[in-house]
Amino acid sequence: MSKTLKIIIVIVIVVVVGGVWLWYGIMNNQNGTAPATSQLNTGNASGNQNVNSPANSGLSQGTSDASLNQDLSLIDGQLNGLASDSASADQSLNTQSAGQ
Amino acid sequence: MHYKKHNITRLSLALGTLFFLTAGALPAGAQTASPMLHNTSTSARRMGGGSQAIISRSDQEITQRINSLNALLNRIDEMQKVSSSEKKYLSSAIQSQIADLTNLKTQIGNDSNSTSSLRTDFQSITKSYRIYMLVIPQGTLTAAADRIMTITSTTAALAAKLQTRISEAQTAGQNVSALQSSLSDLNAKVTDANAQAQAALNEITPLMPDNGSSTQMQANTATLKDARSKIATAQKDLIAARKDAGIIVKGLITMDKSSAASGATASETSQ
Repeated sequence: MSKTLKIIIVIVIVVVVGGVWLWYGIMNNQNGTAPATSQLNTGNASGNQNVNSPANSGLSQGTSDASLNQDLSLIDGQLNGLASDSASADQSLNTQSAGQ
Repeated sequence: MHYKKHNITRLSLALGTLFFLTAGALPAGAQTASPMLHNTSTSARRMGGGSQAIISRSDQEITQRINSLNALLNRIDEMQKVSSSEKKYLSSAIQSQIADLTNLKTQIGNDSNSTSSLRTDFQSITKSYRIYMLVIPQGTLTAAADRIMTITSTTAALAAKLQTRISEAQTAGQNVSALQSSLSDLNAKVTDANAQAQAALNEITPLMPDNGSSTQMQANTATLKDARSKIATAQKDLIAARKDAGIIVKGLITMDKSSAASGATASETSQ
Protein backbone atom coordinates (compact mmCIF):
# COMPACT_ATOMS: atom_id res chain seq x y z
CA MET A 1 0.00 0.00 0.00
CA SER A 2 1.49 3.33 -1.00
CA LYS A 3 2.10 6.08 1.50
CA THR A 4 -0.34 8.40 -0.28
CA LEU A 5 -3.11 5.80 -0.11
CA LYS A 6 -2.53 5.30 3.60
CA ILE A 7 -2.71 9.04 4.20
CA ILE A 8 -5.96 9.26 2.22
CA ILE A 9 -7.47 6.40 4.25
CA VAL A 10 -6.50 8.11 7.50
CA ILE A 11 -7.99 11.42 6.31
CA VAL A 12 -11.25 9.68 5.32
CA ILE A 13 -11.48 7.98 8.72
CA VAL A 14 -10.81 11.26 10.54
CA VAL A 15 -13.45 13.05 8.44
CA VAL A 16 -16.03 10.32 9.11
CA VAL A 17 -15.30 10.21 12.85
CA GLY A 18 -15.28 14.02 12.95
CA GLY A 19 -18.63 14.11 11.18
CA VAL A 20 -20.12 11.66 13.68
CA TRP A 21 -18.71 13.72 16.54
CA LEU A 22 -20.10 16.94 15.06
CA TRP A 23 -23.52 15.32 14.61
CA TYR A 24 -23.45 14.01 18.18
CA GLY A 25 -22.50 17.47 19.50
CA ILE A 26 -25.30 19.15 17.55
CA MET A 27 -27.84 16.59 18.79
CA ASN A 28 -26.69 17.18 22.38
CA ASN A 29 -26.98 20.93 21.98
CA GLN A 30 -30.48 20.58 20.57
CA ASN A 31 -31.58 18.39 23.47
CA GLY A 32 -30.09 20.78 26.00
CA THR A 33 -31.45 23.97 24.46
CA ALA A 34 -33.63 25.95 26.80
CA PRO A 35 -37.22 26.39 25.64
CA ALA A 36 -36.80 30.16 25.65
CA THR A 37 -34.57 29.98 22.63
CA SER A 38 -36.52 27.25 20.90
CA GLN A 39 -39.14 29.19 19.05
CA LEU A 40 -41.70 26.80 17.72
CA ASN A 41 -43.71 29.48 16.01
CA THR A 42 -43.95 33.05 15.03
CA GLY A 43 -47.00 35.24 15.34
CA ASN A 44 -47.97 38.00 17.71
CA ALA A 45 -49.91 38.43 20.90
CA SER A 46 -52.69 40.31 19.17
CA GLY A 47 -53.85 37.07 17.58
CA ASN A 48 -54.29 38.75 14.22
CA GLN A 49 -52.17 36.38 12.21
CA ASN A 50 -53.85 34.82 9.24
CA VAL A 51 -54.11 31.19 10.20
CA ASN A 52 -57.71 30.56 9.32
CA SER A 53 -56.99 28.26 6.44
CA PRO A 54 -57.24 24.48 6.69
CA ALA A 55 -53.58 24.12 5.79
CA ASN A 56 -52.45 26.27 8.72
CA SER A 57 -54.97 25.15 11.29
CA GLY A 58 -54.33 21.41 11.09
CA LEU A 59 -57.75 20.72 9.60
CA SER A 60 -58.24 18.06 6.97
CA GLN A 61 -58.42 19.01 3.33
CA GLY A 62 -61.78 19.10 1.59
CA THR A 63 -65.36 19.50 2.78
CA SER A 64 -66.66 15.93 2.63
CA ASP A 65 -68.70 14.51 5.52
CA ALA A 66 -65.75 12.40 6.62
CA SER A 67 -63.46 15.38 6.47
CA LEU A 68 -65.82 17.51 8.59
CA ASN A 69 -66.13 14.73 11.19
CA GLN A 70 -62.36 14.49 11.28
CA ASP A 71 -62.16 18.24 11.90
CA LEU A 72 -64.65 17.95 14.76
CA SER A 73 -62.44 15.28 16.34
CA LEU A 74 -59.45 17.61 16.06
CA ILE A 75 -61.34 20.36 17.86
CA ASP A 76 -62.47 17.89 20.53
CA GLY A 77 -58.83 17.07 21.17
CA GLN A 78 -57.94 20.75 21.42
CA LEU A 79 -60.84 21.34 23.83
CA ASN A 80 -59.54 18.50 26.00
CA GLY A 81 -56.19 20.27 26.07
CA LEU A 82 -57.93 23.48 27.11
CA ALA A 83 -59.74 21.64 29.91
CA SER A 84 -56.37 20.45 31.14
CA ASP A 85 -54.90 23.97 30.91
CA SER A 86 -57.88 25.37 32.82
CA ALA A 87 -57.47 22.77 35.55
CA SER A 88 -53.78 23.72 35.86
CA ALA A 89 -54.73 27.40 36.06
CA ASP A 90 -57.28 26.68 38.79
CA GLN A 91 -54.76 24.63 40.72
CA SER A 92 -52.13 27.36 40.51
CA LEU A 93 -54.60 30.01 41.63
CA ASN A 94 -55.80 27.86 44.53
CA THR A 95 -52.24 27.28 45.64
CA GLN A 96 -51.58 30.99 45.27
CA SER A 97 -54.54 31.81 47.52
CA ALA A 98 -53.39 29.24 50.07
CA GLY A 99 -49.92 30.79 50.11
CA GLN A 100 -51.18 34.19 51.21
CA MET B 1 6.53 -0.21 8.27
CA HIS B 2 7.78 3.00 9.74
CA TYR B 3 5.13 4.96 7.85
CA LYS B 4 2.41 2.51 8.91
CA LYS B 5 3.35 2.88 12.57
CA HIS B 6 3.47 6.63 12.20
CA ASN B 7 0.00 6.80 10.63
CA ILE B 8 -1.54 4.52 13.25
CA THR B 9 -0.15 6.80 15.93
CA ARG B 10 -1.66 9.81 14.15
CA LEU B 11 -5.03 8.10 13.87
CA SER B 12 -4.99 7.14 17.53
CA LEU B 13 -4.21 10.71 18.49
CA ALA B 14 -7.04 12.04 16.31
CA LEU B 15 -9.55 9.56 17.73
CA GLY B 16 -8.38 10.28 21.26
CA THR B 17 -8.82 14.02 20.75
CA LEU B 18 -12.26 13.52 19.25
CA PHE B 19 -13.32 11.31 22.14
CA PHE B 20 -12.11 13.90 24.61
CA LEU B 21 -13.98 16.69 22.81
CA THR B 22 -17.15 14.59 22.57
CA ALA B 23 -17.11 13.96 26.31
CA GLY B 24 -16.89 17.73 26.80
CA ALA B 25 -20.04 18.22 24.75
CA LEU B 26 -22.21 16.35 27.25
CA PRO B 27 -25.05 18.42 28.79
CA ALA B 28 -23.91 20.45 31.75
CA GLY B 29 -26.88 19.30 33.85
CA ALA B 30 -25.50 15.80 33.88
CA GLN B 31 -22.45 17.11 35.66
CA THR B 32 -24.15 19.32 38.20
CA ALA B 33 -27.03 17.21 39.40
CA SER B 34 -25.09 14.55 41.22
CA PRO B 35 -22.82 16.80 43.35
CA MET B 36 -25.87 18.75 44.50
CA LEU B 37 -27.68 15.63 45.60
CA HIS B 38 -24.49 14.34 47.17
CA ASN B 39 -24.06 17.55 49.19
CA THR B 40 -27.61 17.37 50.48
CA SER B 41 -27.48 13.74 51.47
CA THR B 42 -24.03 14.12 53.03
CA SER B 43 -25.24 17.00 55.16
CA ALA B 44 -28.32 15.06 56.11
CA ARG B 45 -26.19 12.17 57.32
CA ARG B 46 -24.06 14.53 59.42
CA MET B 47 -27.01 16.08 61.21
CA GLY B 48 -29.37 14.88 63.91
CA GLY B 49 -32.86 13.49 63.34
CA GLY B 50 -34.66 16.88 63.48
CA SER B 51 -32.35 18.56 61.02
CA GLN B 52 -32.45 15.55 58.77
CA ALA B 53 -36.22 15.73 58.71
CA ILE B 54 -36.10 19.41 57.75
CA ILE B 55 -33.58 18.75 54.99
CA SER B 56 -35.64 15.88 53.69
CA ARG B 57 -38.82 17.96 53.74
CA SER B 58 -37.01 20.88 52.07
CA ASP B 59 -35.74 18.61 49.32
CA GLN B 60 -39.26 17.35 48.78
CA GLU B 61 -40.80 20.83 48.67
CA ILE B 62 -38.14 22.24 46.37
CA THR B 63 -38.22 19.25 44.04
CA GLN B 64 -42.00 19.54 43.80
CA ARG B 65 -41.72 23.20 42.84
CA ILE B 66 -38.95 22.57 40.34
CA ASN B 67 -41.01 19.80 38.73
CA SER B 68 -44.01 22.13 38.45
CA LEU B 69 -41.83 24.79 36.90
CA ASN B 70 -40.29 22.36 34.42
CA ALA B 71 -43.75 21.14 33.40
CA LEU B 72 -44.83 24.72 32.85
CA LEU B 73 -41.66 25.42 30.89
CA ASN B 74 -42.52 22.57 28.53
CA ARG B 75 -46.07 23.84 28.13
CA ILE B 76 -44.82 27.33 27.32
CA ASP B 77 -42.55 25.88 24.68
CA GLU B 78 -45.62 24.37 22.98
CA MET B 79 -47.50 27.67 22.79
CA GLN B 80 -48.43 28.67 19.26
CA LYS B 81 -50.13 32.03 19.39
CA VAL B 82 -48.42 33.97 22.13
CA SER B 83 -45.63 36.27 20.97
CA SER B 84 -42.08 35.01 21.10
CA SER B 85 -41.14 37.85 23.45
CA GLU B 86 -43.86 36.84 25.90
CA LYS B 87 -42.71 33.23 25.73
CA LYS B 88 -39.15 34.34 26.31
CA TYR B 89 -40.16 36.48 29.28
CA LEU B 90 -42.05 33.65 30.95
CA SER B 91 -39.34 31.10 30.23
CA SER B 92 -36.66 33.39 31.67
CA ALA B 93 -38.71 34.06 34.80
CA ILE B 94 -39.27 30.35 35.31
CA GLN B 95 -35.65 29.42 34.66
CA SER B 96 -34.58 32.09 37.12
CA GLN B 97 -36.89 30.60 39.76
CA ILE B 98 -35.50 27.14 39.07
CA ALA B 99 -31.96 28.46 39.52
CA ASP B 100 -32.91 30.17 42.80
CA LEU B 101 -34.54 27.02 44.12
CA THR B 102 -31.59 24.90 43.08
CA ASN B 103 -29.26 27.28 44.94
CA LEU B 104 -31.53 27.17 47.97
CA LYS B 105 -31.48 23.39 47.89
CA THR B 106 -27.69 23.44 47.93
CA GLN B 107 -27.70 26.04 50.70
CA ILE B 108 -30.00 23.93 52.85
CA GLY B 109 -27.80 20.92 52.20
CA ASN B 110 -24.86 22.93 53.52
CA ASP B 111 -26.69 24.20 56.63
CA SER B 112 -24.91 21.67 58.78
CA ASN B 113 -24.17 23.69 61.92
CA SER B 114 -27.30 25.58 62.75
CA THR B 115 -30.81 24.22 63.04
CA SER B 116 -32.16 27.77 63.21
CA SER B 117 -30.60 28.78 59.88
CA LEU B 118 -31.92 25.53 58.46
CA ARG B 119 -35.42 26.40 59.63
CA THR B 120 -35.08 29.92 58.22
CA ASP B 121 -33.98 28.54 54.86
CA PHE B 122 -36.81 26.05 54.89
CA GLN B 123 -39.35 28.78 55.57
CA SER B 124 -37.89 30.86 52.76
CA ILE B 125 -39.06 28.19 50.33
CA THR B 126 -42.61 29.40 50.79
CA LYS B 127 -42.07 32.92 52.10
CA SER B 128 -39.43 34.42 49.84
CA TYR B 129 -39.95 32.55 46.60
CA ARG B 130 -42.93 33.99 44.82
CA ILE B 131 -43.41 31.12 42.39
CA TYR B 132 -46.91 30.25 43.45
CA MET B 133 -47.79 33.91 43.89
CA LEU B 134 -47.26 35.01 40.33
CA VAL B 135 -45.08 33.04 37.95
CA ILE B 136 -47.03 29.78 37.87
CA PRO B 137 -50.53 31.33 37.70
CA GLN B 138 -49.27 33.77 35.06
CA GLY B 139 -47.79 30.92 33.06
CA THR B 140 -50.78 28.60 33.31
CA LEU B 141 -53.22 31.35 32.35
CA THR B 142 -51.04 32.36 29.42
CA ALA B 143 -50.97 28.73 28.30
CA ALA B 144 -54.77 28.55 28.49
CA ALA B 145 -55.15 31.81 26.55
CA ASP B 146 -52.76 30.52 23.91
CA ARG B 147 -54.76 27.30 23.59
CA ILE B 148 -57.98 29.27 23.21
CA MET B 149 -56.50 31.31 20.39
CA THR B 150 -55.34 28.11 18.71
CA ILE B 151 -58.83 26.63 18.95
CA THR B 152 -60.45 29.81 17.64
CA SER B 153 -58.19 29.63 14.58
CA THR B 154 -59.11 26.00 13.98
CA THR B 155 -62.80 26.62 14.51
CA ALA B 156 -62.79 29.68 12.26
CA ALA B 157 -61.18 27.60 9.51
CA LEU B 158 -63.82 24.92 10.01
CA ALA B 159 -66.53 27.61 9.87
CA ALA B 160 -65.30 28.56 6.40
CA LYS B 161 -65.62 24.94 5.28
CA LEU B 162 -69.08 24.69 6.81
CA GLN B 163 -70.15 27.86 5.00
CA THR B 164 -69.05 26.30 1.72
CA ARG B 165 -71.15 23.19 2.38
CA ILE B 166 -74.17 25.20 3.49
CA SER B 167 -74.00 27.33 0.34
CA GLU B 168 -73.79 24.19 -1.79
CA ALA B 169 -76.81 22.74 -0.01
CA GLN B 170 -78.71 25.98 -0.52
CA THR B 171 -77.87 25.96 -4.22
CA ALA B 172 -79.19 22.40 -4.35
CA GLY B 173 -82.52 23.66 -3.06
CA GLN B 174 -82.24 22.66 0.60
CA ASN B 175 -83.62 24.77 3.44
CA VAL B 176 -80.48 25.85 5.26
CA SER B 177 -81.84 28.62 7.49
CA ALA B 178 -81.35 26.63 10.73
CA LEU B 179 -77.83 25.66 9.73
CA GLN B 180 -76.99 29.23 8.76
CA SER B 181 -78.28 30.42 12.12
CA SER B 182 -76.09 27.89 13.95
CA LEU B 183 -73.11 29.02 11.89
CA SER B 184 -73.73 32.66 12.80
CA ASP B 185 -73.84 31.69 16.47
CA LEU B 186 -70.64 29.67 16.05
CA ASN B 187 -68.84 32.65 14.51
CA ALA B 188 -70.03 34.98 17.27
CA LYS B 189 -68.83 32.56 19.96
CA VAL B 190 -65.43 32.20 18.30
CA THR B 191 -65.03 35.97 18.04
CA ASP B 192 -65.91 36.42 21.70
CA ALA B 193 -63.60 33.61 22.82
CA ASN B 194 -60.71 35.19 20.98
CA ALA B 195 -61.47 38.61 22.47
CA GLN B 196 -61.69 37.16 26.00
CA ALA B 197 -58.40 35.31 25.62
CA GLN B 198 -56.71 38.40 24.26
CA ALA B 199 -58.08 40.53 27.11
CA ALA B 200 -56.83 37.98 29.65
CA LEU B 201 -53.38 38.05 28.08
CA ASN B 202 -53.30 41.84 28.05
CA GLU B 203 -54.12 41.82 31.76
CA ILE B 204 -51.60 39.29 32.97
CA THR B 205 -48.63 40.07 30.72
CA PRO B 206 -47.54 43.26 32.51
CA LEU B 207 -47.85 41.81 36.05
CA MET B 208 -44.70 42.12 38.12
CA PRO B 209 -43.63 40.33 41.34
CA ASP B 210 -44.88 42.09 44.47
CA ASN B 211 -41.47 42.10 46.18
CA GLY B 212 -43.15 41.95 49.58
CA SER B 213 -45.77 44.64 48.95
CA SER B 214 -49.15 43.36 50.13
CA THR B 215 -50.98 45.98 48.05
CA GLN B 216 -49.20 44.79 44.91
CA MET B 217 -49.84 41.19 45.85
CA GLN B 218 -53.56 41.82 46.23
CA ALA B 219 -53.66 43.69 42.92
CA ASN B 220 -51.86 40.81 41.20
CA THR B 221 -54.24 38.28 42.72
CA ALA B 222 -57.30 40.27 41.64
CA THR B 223 -55.95 40.57 38.10
CA LEU B 224 -55.13 36.86 37.89
CA LYS B 225 -58.62 35.94 39.08
CA ASP B 226 -60.20 38.30 36.58
CA ALA B 227 -58.11 36.79 33.79
CA ARG B 228 -59.20 33.33 34.94
CA SER B 229 -62.85 34.33 34.65
CA LYS B 230 -62.21 35.57 31.09
CA ILE B 231 -60.56 32.25 30.24
CA ALA B 232 -63.58 30.42 31.68
CA THR B 233 -65.94 32.52 29.55
CA ALA B 234 -63.86 31.81 26.46
CA GLN B 235 -63.90 28.11 27.23
CA LYS B 236 -67.70 28.14 27.48
CA ASP B 237 -67.85 30.01 24.16
CA LEU B 238 -65.72 27.38 22.48
CA ILE B 239 -67.75 24.51 23.88
CA ALA B 240 -70.89 26.21 22.54
CA ALA B 241 -69.17 26.78 19.17
CA ARG B 242 -68.24 23.09 19.04
CA LYS B 243 -71.86 22.18 19.73
CA ASP B 244 -72.97 24.45 16.86
CA ALA B 245 -70.43 22.83 14.55
CA GLY B 246 -71.71 19.38 15.50
CA ILE B 247 -75.29 20.41 14.77
CA ILE B 248 -74.30 21.81 11.37
CA VAL B 249 -72.30 18.74 10.35
CA LYS B 250 -75.12 16.45 11.44
CA GLY B 251 -77.61 18.58 9.48
CA LEU B 252 -75.45 18.51 6.36
CA ILE B 253 -75.06 14.73 6.57
CA THR B 254 -78.82 14.31 6.96
CA MET B 255 -79.37 16.55 3.91
CA ASP B 256 -76.89 14.46 1.93
CA LYS B 257 -78.73 11.27 2.83
CA SER B 258 -82.17 12.68 2.02
CA SER B 259 -81.03 14.08 -1.35
CA ALA B 260 -79.35 10.77 -2.17
CA ALA B 261 -82.55 8.92 -1.28
CA SER B 262 -84.73 11.25 -3.33
CA GLY B 263 -82.29 10.94 -6.24
CA ALA B 264 -82.57 7.17 -6.08
CA THR B 265 -86.38 7.35 -5.96
CA ALA B 266 -86.46 9.69 -8.96
CA SER B 267 -84.16 7.33 -10.83
CA GLU B 268 -86.39 4.33 -10.09
CA THR B 269 -89.51 6.25 -11.11
CA SER B 270 -88.01 7.28 -14.44
CA GLN B 271 -87.17 3.64 -15.19
